[in-house]
Parts: sequence; structure tokens; C-alpha cells
Amino acid sequence: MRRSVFLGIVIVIIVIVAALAYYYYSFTTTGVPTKETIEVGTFQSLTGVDAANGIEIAWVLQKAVRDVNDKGGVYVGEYGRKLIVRLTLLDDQSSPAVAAECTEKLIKYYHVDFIIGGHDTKINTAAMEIAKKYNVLFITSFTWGFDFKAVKHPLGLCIFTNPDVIMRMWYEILVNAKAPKTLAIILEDNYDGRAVGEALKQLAKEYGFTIPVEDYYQPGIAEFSSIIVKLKAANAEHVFFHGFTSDLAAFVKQTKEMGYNWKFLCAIKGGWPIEFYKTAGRDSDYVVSDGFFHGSFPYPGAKELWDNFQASFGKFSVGSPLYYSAPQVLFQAIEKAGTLKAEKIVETVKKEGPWTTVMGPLKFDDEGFAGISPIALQWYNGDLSPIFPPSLAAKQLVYPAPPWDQRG
Amino acid sequence: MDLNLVIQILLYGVLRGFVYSIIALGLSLIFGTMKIVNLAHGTLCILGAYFAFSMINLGLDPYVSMPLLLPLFFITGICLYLGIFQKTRDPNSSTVSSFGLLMAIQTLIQIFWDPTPKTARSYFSDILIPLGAANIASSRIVLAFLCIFTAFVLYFLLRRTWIGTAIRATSEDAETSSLMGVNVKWINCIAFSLGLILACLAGVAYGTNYAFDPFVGLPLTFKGVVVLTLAGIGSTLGVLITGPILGIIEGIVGFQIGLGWIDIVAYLMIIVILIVRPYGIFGGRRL
Repeated sequence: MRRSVFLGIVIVIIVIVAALAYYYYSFTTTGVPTKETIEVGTFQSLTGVDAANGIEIAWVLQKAVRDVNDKGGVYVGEYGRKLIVRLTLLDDQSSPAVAAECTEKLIKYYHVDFIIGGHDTKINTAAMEIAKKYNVLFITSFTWGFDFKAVKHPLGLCIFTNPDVIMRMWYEILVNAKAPKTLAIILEDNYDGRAVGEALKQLAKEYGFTIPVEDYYQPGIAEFSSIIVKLKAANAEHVFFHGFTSDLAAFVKQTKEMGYNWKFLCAIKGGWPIEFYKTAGRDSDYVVSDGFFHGSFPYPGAKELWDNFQASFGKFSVGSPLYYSAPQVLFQAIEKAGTLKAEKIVETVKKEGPWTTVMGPLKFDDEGFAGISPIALQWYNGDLSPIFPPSLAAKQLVYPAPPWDQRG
Repeated sequence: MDLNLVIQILLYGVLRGFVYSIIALGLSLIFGTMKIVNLAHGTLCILGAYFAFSMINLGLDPYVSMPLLLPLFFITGICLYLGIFQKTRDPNSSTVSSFGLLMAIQTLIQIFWDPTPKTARSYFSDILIPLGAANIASSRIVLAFLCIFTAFVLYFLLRRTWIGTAIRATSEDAETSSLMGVNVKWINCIAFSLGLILACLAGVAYGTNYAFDPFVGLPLTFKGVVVLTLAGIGSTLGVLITGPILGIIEGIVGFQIGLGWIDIVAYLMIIVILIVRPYGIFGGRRL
């Protein structure tokens, strides 16, 4: 017994001495703090309901870091040399609460210099509150502009849009197509769905549209027959659908089954990935989806990113590559500011620009927000082609969509 | 309202209801025998759908792959029972364990497949049967027949065979059954494994009709619990009837009030039935 107590005391003393030695070595032997890497942290939904997006976005961010490191890193004036960027990636499990925990962990344990946000407004605003608390630069690519500004993080930057900008696009498309001014709306009953619904209703007044059917559903219900009966009863020709891919695929298949011939079906979120085509097959034809990115963009690096993404995943994405622009802006701003001081970098981002990105030139406002223009794309035979705005359109909108019994 | 539309609401409600019934059949068997609300049941169904999806890549139609999948699920059931549920004998512990199982399967699906939505399109999925102004996908008809057939087979098994008698006896009173020579452990094991076969059947049928991802399992379990509660324990044919009733109610609620109210009404029905008729509409004893 006495022997084990003695051994225990010896071990404790050794540990304490080692810790003190490490502390002395780390903090006192070097007079000037050295910096070998730029530490960038991020959290993405690698598991949970949004994992399909999170895995893609993680790849995009890793590629952005790899691309800059392949060029020797980011030049930081105050160090007089290029520094390699190191990306620390944590899993937010598709949960805002976990994203907030991840942010705290990135700051306190990984001591990151900057944080790049994840996917979804709720996740990013929860995480940004933590970044604000610790005064760490937080740049996000997927947060509604009004929500980003509500957080009032002085070191916050955001590259995205607002619901009314996307919703305005649908009305513009229908007006350009000289279509009857009606639009039925079916939305997920969640934060995003409600925000989108409000924007659609506000703009309907401005554009003189009527909304014959408005309904909200719980994600994952899979059965839309009752609402399709309602759409048929209301003779609704144009439908706006907001939801996950599985819900959109179920909705589209059931419209076919129930003989509901919509002339224009636009979808946000669910229509982005190729999985929509894989689950709905050719029934996906003529569905119009929103998107943010396409390989046909005439911006530097856009085609290469599109091709690389396809080579890695065996599919395209009109959403995830948007995230490439956040590190692009961050790295350019560091070089321009010549420092890793967050305040100076944010100031530079706001004052300078436009910044060159795969999304085109981006200019930030005084609150750190850079609005991007969404695009509309139409599905046909597994391909998703830009149809709006006209300057980026690769094809013309097919309107009205042919009735089900006249499709091949 | 147009009579044609009314018929469509009722018809699609009935067909949707058979999905609930086929899920509830497996839940009913496991709950009736072992008193476990197997929270992983819906996710096990979805696992069946994922296997069927993989079989398509091997050139097998989901329904054709069933002779391969059903024994696999039966063996999985034996392993899960002996590995988990036999050891957590207390129903509360077992129910919590089933939640752990749910999370584990959900994660495994994401690892072995991926989190993106899938469908297990069958030969029947694309054949539409005209019905006035609408059509019915033949895969829905197949699902309905499969559900009815399974319910009658299960009914026959439970009522007309020795093993069914032993399952029912264990369900009534495990201790007395044991004294009468029934090997309760193996009867529970068989009942659980049969429950997994039913989960596989339900999953394949679901996957041929709807898109699925790793997360749709739990809502399906909850809908199965609604049907089970409404029907009552031990009523196989009651489960068969209650599913379509729930489907019709959901259809009417979705049309008249809104899609967002479907789940609220369904879950409120559980509370109402437990207060008004705790043994369910067709059941003979309290839950």
C-alpha cells in the first residue's frame, strides 16, 4: 500500500514538472510569437438530416484550402511570407445547438483564427452568436441576409441572399412567360418555410398574383394526395414547392399518379441535387429549381470547380460550390490587409472589393453582407440547365410543362 | 365538392393507410409478446428498403429480392434478441435499448450507403392503373395486397399453429406459459424475429412507393404506434382495418384543414382512444 502511494506521488510530481516545463518552453523561450499556419475552423453537417449537403460542403471547403496551399499559402504582410492554411472540420450533426458547441470548441480548444459557417440559417446564427461572444471573425455562405444582420456580429461576414430575392425570381419568370398570375404555395412548416411563405405572399401583391392554395406540411410526410386534390379542385396551374428532395420527389410522382397537370412547378432546396432525378426519374422533367452555381458561369475557376466536383462525387451540385467563395474572399482579404487581425480584415472586406470569386465579383455592404443573385434551372432528362436570368441562361424555359399523358 | 375528388381523397387515404398497417403489424407482434415498444422498428423497415435498393444494383427487383432479404432479417432478429433484448428483460430498459438501436442503425445506414434520398423502384412502380380523372400506381396496389396477405398469414399463424398458440400464451402470461412447458425465451426470440421479417416486408413495400432516407424511420414507427393503439393489442385484423381508417382521416384533415394538421390529429387520437377505450377499438385488453 505504502509503495503504491509513493509511486502515485512520484507520478503526480513528474506530470506537474513536465507540464511546467512545457509551459516554460512554449511561452517564454521565444521572444516573438511565431505563426506557421493560418488556423481556419468550420463545422458542417457530416451526420444528421442535412448530412448530404454537409459532406459536399466539407469537400468544397477542403478544396478551397488545398487550392490556396498548392500555391504556397496566403501571403501575410506582417509576417513577410506566405502561411499555409490549416482547416479544422467538426461535425455539427445538423443541429444549431451542436454547431454552437463546435464554434466554442474551435475557438477555445483549437484556437482558430477564423471560422467559416455551415449550412442553414438557424445553424449559422446560433454559431455566430458564439463567435460574437469571443470576438472571432465568422464568414458564412448560407444565412438569410436579414438573419445575419440581426445577429449584429461586428466581425461577421455573409455571402448569400434574402428570401424575397429568390421569390421575386419566380414571379419574374412567370411574368416573362406571360403566364396567368396565380401561384399555389406548399411549404415545409419550419423557419425557412415560413420565411419563404411570407416573402411569396408579400410579392404576390406587388406582382398582382393570386394564391389559390397555401399549405404547410411537416417534412417527411411523404403523402401529398390530399393537397394535390385541393390543387386540382382550385385549378391551380402553377405551384411553388419548398422542401427536401424526398418530399419533392414524392410530390411530383403523386401529381403524375393523380393526373394533376401543373404547367409550372418551381421548387427550392429539394430540386438542387441529382438525387431528385434519381428518385423521381423522368417525372422530374420540367420542374424548375433555384440554384446558386453552375459550371457555365463565366467566372474564374467556376468551370474547374464544377468539373472537379463532378469528378469527386460523380454528380453536379448547384448549391454546395457556393461555399468556395467564403474562403476565397477571406484569403484575398488577408493578403490585402496584410495581417491576421480580424478587425482589419473585416474592415478591408467591407471597404475594398469587388472580390473575385467563382460566384462572380462580390461587393460587401457596411454590415458585412454580400448579396448574390440566385439562378433558376429546369430539369430535363437528368440535366439541370440555367434558364434565368437571361444573361446566364443556357436554355429557354419550357412553359407550359406538357400534360403527363403527352410526355414520352 | 366534386364526387370524383371525394373518391380520390378516400381511395388514396386507404392506400396510404395500408403503409401504416403493414408497419403496425410488426410492432404489434413484438409489443404483444414482449411488451416492448420497438422504437427501431421503422428504421429497421427503412433498412429493408435500403437492402432492396442495393439489390436493384445487382439486377433484382425489390420484390424478387425478398426471398433473400426475409431470412437475413429473421437471422438479424435472432441476433438482436439474443444480443440485446433478452439481456434487457425489463420492458422499459428494452424500449430505451431500442432507441439506441435506432440511432445505431441510422448511423450505419449513413456509413454504408449515404444520407441522400433513395427509392427502390420496382417493376410495378411505373405502371399506372387509370381510375377516372386519376391513376393509381400499381406499386400501391401491390403494397395493399401484401399488407392484407401478411395480416391473414399472421392471423393464421397466431390462431392455427402451435407456435402461434405459444406466442399468444406468452403474450397473455409469460410465467404461467413457462410453467406449462413453453420456452418463453425462444418464443420471444421467434416473435421478435418474425417482427423483423414484417419490418423488412414493410420497408420493401414502402421503398417501392416513396423516397426514403435514414431519418424517415422514426416517424413511421410513431404512425405504427398510432395504429397499434387505435386497433388494440392482439388484434391482427384490427391493425389491418385501422391503418386505412387513419389514412382516410389524414386525407380528410389534409384536404379540409391543412397538411400541417395531419400529425396533430393522428397523435391526439392516441390520447383520446387511451382515455375513452384503453384496449383499443378491436383489442381485448388494456395497453
